[in-house]
Amino acid sequence: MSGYPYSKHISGLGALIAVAVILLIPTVAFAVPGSGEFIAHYSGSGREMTELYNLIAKICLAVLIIVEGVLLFAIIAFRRRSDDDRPVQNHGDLRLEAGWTLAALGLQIWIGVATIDVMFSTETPPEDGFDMTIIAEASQWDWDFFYEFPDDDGREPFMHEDLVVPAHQNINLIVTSRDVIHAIFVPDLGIKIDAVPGRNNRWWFRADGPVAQVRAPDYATVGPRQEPYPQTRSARFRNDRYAAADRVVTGLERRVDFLGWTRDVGEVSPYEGYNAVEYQGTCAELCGRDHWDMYFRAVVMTQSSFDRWVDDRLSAVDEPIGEAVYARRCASCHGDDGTGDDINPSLVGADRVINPDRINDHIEIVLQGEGQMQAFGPVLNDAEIAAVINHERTSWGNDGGTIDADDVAALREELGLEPRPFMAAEPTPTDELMARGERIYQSCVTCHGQDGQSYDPQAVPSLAQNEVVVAEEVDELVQVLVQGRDSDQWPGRKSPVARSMTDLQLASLLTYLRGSFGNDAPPVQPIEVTDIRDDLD
Amino acid sequence: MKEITAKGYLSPLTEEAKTNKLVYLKEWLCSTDAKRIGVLYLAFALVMGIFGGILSLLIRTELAQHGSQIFDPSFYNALPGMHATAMIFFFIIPAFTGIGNFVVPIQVGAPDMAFPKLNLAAFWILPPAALVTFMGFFLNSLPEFGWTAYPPLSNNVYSGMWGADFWVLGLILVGVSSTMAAINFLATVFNMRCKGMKMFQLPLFTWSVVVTSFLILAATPVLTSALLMLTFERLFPGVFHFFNPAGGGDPILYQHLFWFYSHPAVYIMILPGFGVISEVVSTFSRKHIFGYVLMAWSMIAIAVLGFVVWAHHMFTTGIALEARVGFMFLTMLIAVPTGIKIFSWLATMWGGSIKFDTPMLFAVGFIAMFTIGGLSGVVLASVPVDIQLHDTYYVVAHIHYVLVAGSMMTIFAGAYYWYPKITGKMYNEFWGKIHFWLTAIFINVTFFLQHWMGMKGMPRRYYDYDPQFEWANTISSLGSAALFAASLIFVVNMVWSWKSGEDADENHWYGDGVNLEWLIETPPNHHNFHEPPEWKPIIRQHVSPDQPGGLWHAKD
Repeated sequence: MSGYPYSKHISGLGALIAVAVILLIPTVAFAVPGSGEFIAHYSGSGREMTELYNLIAKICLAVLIIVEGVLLFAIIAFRRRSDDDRPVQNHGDLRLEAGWTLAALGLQIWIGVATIDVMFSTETPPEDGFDMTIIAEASQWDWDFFYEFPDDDGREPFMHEDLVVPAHQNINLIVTSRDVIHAIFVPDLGIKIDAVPGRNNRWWFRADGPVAQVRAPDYATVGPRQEPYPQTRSARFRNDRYAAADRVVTGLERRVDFLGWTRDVGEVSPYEGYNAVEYQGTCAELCGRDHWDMYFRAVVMTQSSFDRWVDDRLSAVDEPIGEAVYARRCASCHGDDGTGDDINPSLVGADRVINPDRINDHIEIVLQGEGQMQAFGPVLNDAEIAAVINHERTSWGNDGGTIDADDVAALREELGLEPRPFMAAEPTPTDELMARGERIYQSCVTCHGQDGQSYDPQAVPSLAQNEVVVAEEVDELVQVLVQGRDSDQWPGRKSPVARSMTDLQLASLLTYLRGSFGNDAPPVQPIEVTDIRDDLD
Repeated sequence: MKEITAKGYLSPLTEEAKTNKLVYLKEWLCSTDAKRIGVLYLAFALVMGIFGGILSLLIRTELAQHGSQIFDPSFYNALPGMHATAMIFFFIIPAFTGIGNFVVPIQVGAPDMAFPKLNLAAFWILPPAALVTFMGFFLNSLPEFGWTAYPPLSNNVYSGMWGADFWVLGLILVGVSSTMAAINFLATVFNMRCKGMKMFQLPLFTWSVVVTSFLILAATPVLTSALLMLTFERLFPGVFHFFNPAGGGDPILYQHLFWFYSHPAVYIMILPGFGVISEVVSTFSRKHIFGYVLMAWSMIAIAVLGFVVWAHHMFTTGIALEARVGFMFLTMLIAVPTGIKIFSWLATMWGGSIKFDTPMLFAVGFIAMFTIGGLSGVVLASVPVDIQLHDTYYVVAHIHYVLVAGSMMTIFAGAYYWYPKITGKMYNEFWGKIHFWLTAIFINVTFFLQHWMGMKGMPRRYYDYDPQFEWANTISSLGSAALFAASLIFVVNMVWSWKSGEDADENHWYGDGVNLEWLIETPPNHHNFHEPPEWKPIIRQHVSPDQPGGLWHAKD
C-alpha cells in the first residue's frame, strides 16, 4: 500500500464528499416536514393527486438512492490504486441488461397504471352530476367568473371578480379566454387548466372549504383511508395559523397574503362575515406584460354562507351608495346638507327634487347638466345616478319618491345619450386608447401608410378625412373592419382585420384612426364596440 | 514579427500567414478544415454561453427579492425567452456541433467532413443568425412571449414589436444551419468510415452524433414551418388565420407543431452529451463500455420515442383524456432507454480502475445529478401530477437539471477531455477541479429549491411573486451568480492554458484512449491521417467476464 501518491486519497475523498452531498440534498429535502409535499390538498381530487405524487416520489427517491449508492460505491471501491492497474474487461451481461430494462419497464407500467386510476377518477364527471356551473373567462390581465344556476333555481346569473364556490358540491368550471392563452391555477384546490380562446375547457372539483377538512370516505378512491388528513402548510415555511386538521371553521379563514400589485389584500377581506376559507388563485400561462399580476381569491363557503353571498350579490350590496356618490360628486357645490350657497341652488324642498311628476327632469339635469352644472351622464353609471337621485329625493326632509337604474337607462335612450349600465367597464382614457391604437395601426401601414395617406388611392382609400372614419356613428367602420368587404368577385379587397381583436383593441384602433392624420372625430369606448358587434352578430 | 510556430492543424498553411496574424486569422475564418470549424463553433458557443449566462443573471437579479428590482415587467418578460434562445440555439447545439466537427471525422478515420464548404457555410450562418435573433436588443423591441411563442400572444395584435419578427427569422436561419451540419455528419459517417469501421464498431460519441443528426433532419422542418406560419400571420394580419380561432384557426395547432420539434430538441441537446460521457467514463475507468450494442440501440430508441411524446408539454391544454394516457405511457417508456444508459455507465465503472481527472469528475457529477433531472421527469410524466406542476418552478428545476447538470456539464466534460487533443496543450488541472466543485455545488444551490417552489405553487415567468417564496428565490439567485462566476474560471483556464499550458501527449489520458483520435499526433495534422487508417475491430458484443478478449488482454 506504500506506493499510493497522497493526492489520490484526496481526489477519492473529494469525490466521496461530492456524491454524499448530492445524495444528501434530496434525502434531506424529503425529510424536512412539508417541503416534499405536493400542492393540492383541499379538494377530493387534489388529495388523490397528492397521494399519487407521494407514491411516485417515493419510487423515484428509491431509484435515486440506488443509483447514487452504486455510484458512490464504485467511486470508492474502484478508484485507481496504481498506474499499472489493468482491470478485467467485460463487455456486457445479457441477464443484467435484460434485468434492469425489464425492471425499469415494470416500474414505469406500475406508475402508469396508478396514474390512469387517478386520471379517470378525478376527471370523469361525477355520477351524481354537477351542482353548479361557473364560467371562468380570462383576459389580459384579469379573471371574470360568471355564475349560473339551474333553471328551476330562479336565481339570476351574475359576474364576479373572484371564484366563490360552496363546499362539498360538484363544481363544473368552464374555462375560456377572450384574448390570448391563460391558465387558471388554484394550487390548494388542485385546479389548473388552460384558458384557450375559442375553446371551453372543463375542470371539475369538490372543495372541502370550512367544513371538516378530513379525508371523507365517500370520495376516497385510491384507498379508503379514514384518518384525518394531515395539515399541509408546513409550520416551518408558512404561518401556522391553520394547524388543526379536523375542524369546522366559523367565520373567515384568510390564507391569501398576496394578490399581486393591482389588487390589495386589504385589512378586511370582502368575504368577512361568511363561513369561508380563502385560497390564492392566479394565471399559469405566460400571457403578456402583467401575466404575474392576475391573482384572484378562490373562496370556498359553507352552503348557507354561499346562498347568503349570492343573495347579497344579487341584492346590490355592492351597488353604489347614494350618500357616498353625493359626497364625492355633488357636495362640493350643493353642500353636505343639500342647502347650496349663493350661486348653487338648494336641493332641499326644490320642486324638481320633491315633485314626483318631475322625476325625469331631475334625472335629465343630472345626466346632461345645465348652466354651471356639469353633465354627469358620461361619468356616472345608471345605478350610481339612480342612487344619488334617490338620496337627494329622500334626504333632508325631502320626500319625492324613488327611481331605479332602468329609469335612468330609459331616459338616456330617449335623450340619445350613450348607454352606461351598471357594472360596465369604466371608460378607458383617450390617451391610453390612442397609444394602444397607434401600436395596432402598425399592422395597417403597409397599405394605408404611416400618415394614413394611401400610396395608391385607386386601390386603397386614404384614411385622412375619410367619411367612414370620421362619421359620427362608427357602425359602418366597425362593420368594415370586423366583416371585411370581401366578395366572391373581389376576394382580399378589404380583409376582416379586426375579426380577432378584442373590443378594447378595436376601440383603440378606431380612436386612433379618428384622432390622427388630421382627423378630429370623438374617441370610441370599448362598450360602444361591444354593442355594435352584438348587433352585427 | 514573431513567427507562428503552432503545430498540426494549427500551423499556418502559407508562408505569409506565418508572420502576418491577420492573414492567419483569415485562414482560420475561411478554413474548410472540420477541426478549425469545430474550434470556431466552440468559440462562438462560448461567447453566446456567456451572453445567455448574463441574461440568466439579469432574471435572477430581478427575482432575488420580492417586489420590483431593476426592470419593468415588459423587459423582464423578454428575458426568459431570450435566455432560452441564447442557451439552446446558440450555446448547447453549436457547442456539441463544434465537438462533433473536431472529433467525428477523426473517429471514423476520415480526413475531413464529407462537404467541407457546406460545413463552413453552416457555421457562418450562425453569427448573423444570432445578430438577427437578438436584433430586438438594438431596436429596443424585444419579443415578450417566451421562447415558446404561443399564439395568439405572439401574433401581431398582442406582440406588435419588430424585434419579434427578427427573432422568428433568426430561428429559421439557425434551423437551416443545423440542418446543413446534420446532413454533413450523416454523409461523413455513412460514406467515409475507414477500413474495419463497421457501424457497430463506431465509438459511442459518433453514434450519438449520428442519432442526433437524424433527429435534427426530421424535426427542424416542423419548427421552421410553424415559425413560417407564425410569420405569415404576423406580417399579413387578417389574411392568414392558422392559429386564430376567429378565422377558423386553432392556437393549439401551433403548440403541436412547436413541441413536435422542441421535444426532440431536448434529445438533440442531451444525446451528444451521452456520447461524451460514454467516451470519458470508458477512458478513465480503463474499461470498454458496458453493453455497447444496447447503448447504441437505446439512443436510437430515445430518438424514435422522442418523436411520439410531444403532447406531454400540453397536458393542460384540454386535449382528450385518452390521448393523454397514450402520450403518458410513451413518455414513461423513454425513461427505460435512459435508465439503460445510466446503469450501463455504472456497470462500466464497476470493476474498473477509475482516475478522477476533471473530465471524469464532470462525468460522475453528470451521472449523479442528471439522474435527479431524469427522475423529476418521471414525476412530471404522470398526467395529474404534471397538470399541477405545469408552468411552475418545478418544471424550471427539471429542465435545468437536465440542461445544466446534463448538457452543460457534458460540454465541460468534453471540452476538458479533448482539450489536449484540440490545442496540444494541457489545461490547468487544479483550476479545472475547482471549476467542477463550484459548478456541482452551485447547480444544486441554484436549482434544487426551485422544485420546492413549484410544488408550493409558484408559477414560472413571474415578474413578482408571493413573498412566501422570497427566501428560496434569494438563495437561488445567489447560487446562480456563483455558478456564473465558476464558469468564468473555465473560460480563463481554457484561454490561458492554450497560450501557456504544458505540452500534451498524443494519447494524453494515461495512454487509455482507444479511439482513432488518440492514436494520431497531438494536435492532429491538417488531414488527420498521413495514410488511410485501418480500424482493428474491438469486441463490442457481450463477452462474459471470465473470458479474455478486452483491450488489455488483446495487447498481450
